[in-house]
Amino acid sequence: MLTLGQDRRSLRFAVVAVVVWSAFSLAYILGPLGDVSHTWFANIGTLLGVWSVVVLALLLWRSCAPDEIARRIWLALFLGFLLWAVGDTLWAFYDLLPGGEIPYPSPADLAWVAGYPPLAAALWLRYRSMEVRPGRGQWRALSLIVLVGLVVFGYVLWPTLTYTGYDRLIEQALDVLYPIGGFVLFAGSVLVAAAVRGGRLSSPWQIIALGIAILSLADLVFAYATWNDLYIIEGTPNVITILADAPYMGAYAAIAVGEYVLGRLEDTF
Amino acid sequence: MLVFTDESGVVVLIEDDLARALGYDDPDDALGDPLAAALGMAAGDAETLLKEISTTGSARHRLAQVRSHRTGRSWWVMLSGSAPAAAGRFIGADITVAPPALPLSSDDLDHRHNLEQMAEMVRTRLRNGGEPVLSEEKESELRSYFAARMLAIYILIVRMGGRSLGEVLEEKVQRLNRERGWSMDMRRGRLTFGEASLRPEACREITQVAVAYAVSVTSKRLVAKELAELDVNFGGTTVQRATQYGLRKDL
Repeated sequence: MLTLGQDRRSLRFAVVAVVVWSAFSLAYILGPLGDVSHTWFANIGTLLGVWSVVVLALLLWRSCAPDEIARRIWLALFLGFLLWAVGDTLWAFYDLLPGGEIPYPSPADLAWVAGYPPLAAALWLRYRSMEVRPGRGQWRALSLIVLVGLVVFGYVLWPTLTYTGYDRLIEQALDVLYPIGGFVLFAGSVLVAAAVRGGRLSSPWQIIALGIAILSLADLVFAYATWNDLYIIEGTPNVITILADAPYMGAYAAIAVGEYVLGRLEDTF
Repeated sequence: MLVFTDESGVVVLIEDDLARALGYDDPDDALGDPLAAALGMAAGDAETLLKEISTTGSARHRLAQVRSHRTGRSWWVMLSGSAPAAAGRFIGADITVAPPALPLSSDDLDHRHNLEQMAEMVRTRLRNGGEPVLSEEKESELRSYFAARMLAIYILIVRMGGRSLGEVLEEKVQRLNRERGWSMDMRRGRLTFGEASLRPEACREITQVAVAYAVSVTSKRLVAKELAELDVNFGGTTVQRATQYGLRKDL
């Protein structure tokens, strides 16, 4: 990518992020230290990624002047990612507890659900601050959003909404909220990526938007897999579990790279 | 003569005389063309030049052949370039095109010097424009200052956010002019004035809108840095007068 090629430090950061993500993904898939290690590698890889994203968002937020719109955007991103980091940490705690069952819903769900509104607000603020008119790129983005929306509705939301066997309403509510939240973030990130085309800022924002989009898609795959009892929590992961978990780690790595490149561009790092 | 590009080598500003020599009837038609197409030079040579500027921050003088795409006539020039920021934060290239006979100047490799040339270009445009002759040189200088500042903001926005964001800025300026009944216009970042006397309140309001938009899509730090570098090219009295009229405020 042009931006990364022009700045050695950004390139180094991206290479390290890709290498770390690849190493954790491979270790997660292969489980070199035995059956239990799959879960360990998935959780550690995810935590490393999400906490890097949180720290970089914090630094970017603090580098903005108090009256800048970017400060509000980065504050919202920081809060959203912080809540998700808390959610991922709690999930890892339950997941790695020997013999422990992961409750549903758990406090991790509370943190994850709370993370959606600030992240969506950040994307909305970023998009609105640019004030771009709907052009060809915007219409293409909208078409993609509608397409993904139809898939989400048909394969994830509709079965959840029409299922009558729920014991508790909260479980059904969460199963509906996650895909909706994922879809909203996906739509926001695609719109932002389509708006900043052609300028120097486009690369970092597109990397960040791509990361959030992948994260949302991984969430949707996770929702689909758990609904159909295909998600493997312990032991060797199957294909759909890998498709949910490996991109999840990769998405955080991508967001961290985008944040770093943006920070370099704006003299923060 | 000067050509400014964005990070991908697309022309965002070109001096009028150069654009006409290259076969453009309207110099603004060159905006948006890739550097190689605008200068009529080999794509590989243009790519090498841009790569050198983006990675090292400057490119030393080299001979290159450029061609008018209207007449097909080609001629040799010396090309050199610099980047507005240190390597690693490359947002576009400032390229100087000079006849080979001219003595080479190290100033061509300095972004601040290139901004000075840009300011001079704006002055020339305003002097040659269709508006009535200005009564005072001071007012002319202030007008040049305002136009140069707006052009610098436009170029920064296009380089950072792409041409569609540059168009948003133009629309904002045009809308404000329509609403207030002012006779200024902005096209491709360049202001044209339809009335003889400068209206400081109009310039002030337009500047505020432009700076606010530039800050919202980039950052206060970047905008302040670019405008500070532009200020160096104007006399202390002009800058002082601009401050007095509210055309420049500390960000």
